Amino acid sequence: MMNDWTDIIGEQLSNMSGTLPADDWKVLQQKYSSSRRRARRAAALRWAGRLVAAAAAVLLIIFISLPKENTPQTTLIAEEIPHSHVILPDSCTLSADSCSPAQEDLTSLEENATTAEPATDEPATDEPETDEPETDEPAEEKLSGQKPESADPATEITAEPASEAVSDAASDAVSTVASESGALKRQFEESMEETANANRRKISIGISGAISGTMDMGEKVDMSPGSVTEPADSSYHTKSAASKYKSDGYDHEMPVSFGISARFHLNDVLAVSTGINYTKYESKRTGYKHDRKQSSMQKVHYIGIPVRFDLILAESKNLSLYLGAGIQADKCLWATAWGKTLHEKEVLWSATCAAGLQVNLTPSSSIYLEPELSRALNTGSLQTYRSKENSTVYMRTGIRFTLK
Amino acid sequence: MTDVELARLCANGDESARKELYTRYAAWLYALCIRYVGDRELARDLMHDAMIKIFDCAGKYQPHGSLKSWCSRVTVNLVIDHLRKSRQMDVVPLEESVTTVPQPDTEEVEKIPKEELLRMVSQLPPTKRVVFNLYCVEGYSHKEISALLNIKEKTSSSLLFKARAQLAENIKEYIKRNGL
Repeated sequence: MMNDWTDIIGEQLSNMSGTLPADDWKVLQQKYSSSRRRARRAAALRWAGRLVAAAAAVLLIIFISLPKENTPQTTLIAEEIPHSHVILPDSCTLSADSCSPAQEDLTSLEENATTAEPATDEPATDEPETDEPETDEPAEEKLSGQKPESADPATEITAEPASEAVSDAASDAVSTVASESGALKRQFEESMEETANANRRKISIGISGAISGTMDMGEKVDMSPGSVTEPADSSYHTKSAASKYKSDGYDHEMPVSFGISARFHLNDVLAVSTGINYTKYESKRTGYKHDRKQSSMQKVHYIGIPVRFDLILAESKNLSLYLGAGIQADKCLWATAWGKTLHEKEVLWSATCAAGLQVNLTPSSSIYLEPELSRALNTGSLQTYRSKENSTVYMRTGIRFTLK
Repeated sequence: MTDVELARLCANGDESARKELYTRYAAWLYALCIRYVGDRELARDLMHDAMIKIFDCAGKYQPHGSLKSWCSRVTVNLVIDHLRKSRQMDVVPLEESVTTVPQPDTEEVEKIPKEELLRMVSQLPPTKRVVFNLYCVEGYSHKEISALLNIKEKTSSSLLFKARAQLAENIKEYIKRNGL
């Protein structure tokens, strides 16, 4: 050691004890209990966050690796394209110089095409009624000066139209199939449109609860006196400013929230949700009455209306992943501390963003988990958890019922 | 109950063991905090924080030294962290000149009451107060102090020199005022 006189000071001060108040042990016990509660809550939130992240990763992997299922809107209408076996009507007229049937015959065929028992592959043996065929007879006559030796014109005409009738029938069949598939295609498009419209009209109702955490897990004690809407009782005063550390102390508990919500799907990827949220803030306040330390629980109850837009990132039969962003307005219903009513007239605004995982239990019900980050845009006059922590993380979970 | 047994019981959550630990060391740790921070309310809060930390970390106590010195180290580290966070640990520049003051005698110092000595030490500027307490009361070396406070050894020596000079002046004034 350097000098004797400082040794004397060191020796005297090292053995010195202070005088503590009689209730100091009780105060320490209370502080220890609340610190343990905070530590447990922080640990629970950390574990919940890890579990959610792990579950989301596992579900995402499962979702990606699942084979695509036929959704109703992509399932083709399971109707067999009918085999159109053409039955030539009796009134069918053919012209020898043309392989295509007359237009009135085609129309007649379309109207009469059936999917009944297939017609037999009978050649067109019906003797067509023909008009006087156009032949080269005049030319032949001209050349040879004789009438060509020919069979009965009717017979001659009959032989050729028979083969033409088969090809005509085939072309009739093709055109009929084409027209019928066109009709089927129209029906398919209409059903897809109907399904899409059904999705647009989908409405979900949800019930949720939430526990909260903070971005900073450290102990928070309000250092600023006198900025609170104090009750009129003047016997509760804050300690003098001579104490640099603590005057009127606040020990904020983490808020809890419950709510109901309604969600409207605007299209397949975008939805808007709104509802009503109830949030409760509790804080232990300490003050001095007649120079004696007192404490009281401050309870503040807020009712809020959130509006949020959700972007559906991925959706399958059983799972849905989405991101959301929006705002919330909260109004104080009532607040009490020190046995008196406090007043908060200001509407509190906050911006929210969330990630959501929804698991469909049945076609009309599902459970969801939504970690949500809420950023306070204004704090109001009452000192609560919200006024100390600008950003709060809520772990919201609930049940959603789909109304179609 | 030995120190090891007491620490083990506290680590296991034994309420009576914690009460015993509190009864043994709380008042002494409270005086330690007053020496470092000066304000009694703040010292009491820091003592509570230190006790909570001691209850949580009692399982880490090793019987190399006494339980009292282990609790003292935990408390000193916590207090220094608090002072650092509250930006009270401003280092005095080395160029500051110090007026040489005659050193008091040991007999004169022994006549001064403990509470008065405590008050004089508490009124030192924060950084000098911490270095004086660490060196003269806790028995840290300048090397250990420089590592703890993240300053140079030369800075630690300079701060101690200035703290001693200011204390010497205060002691001389007290003796002169009270006719000791």
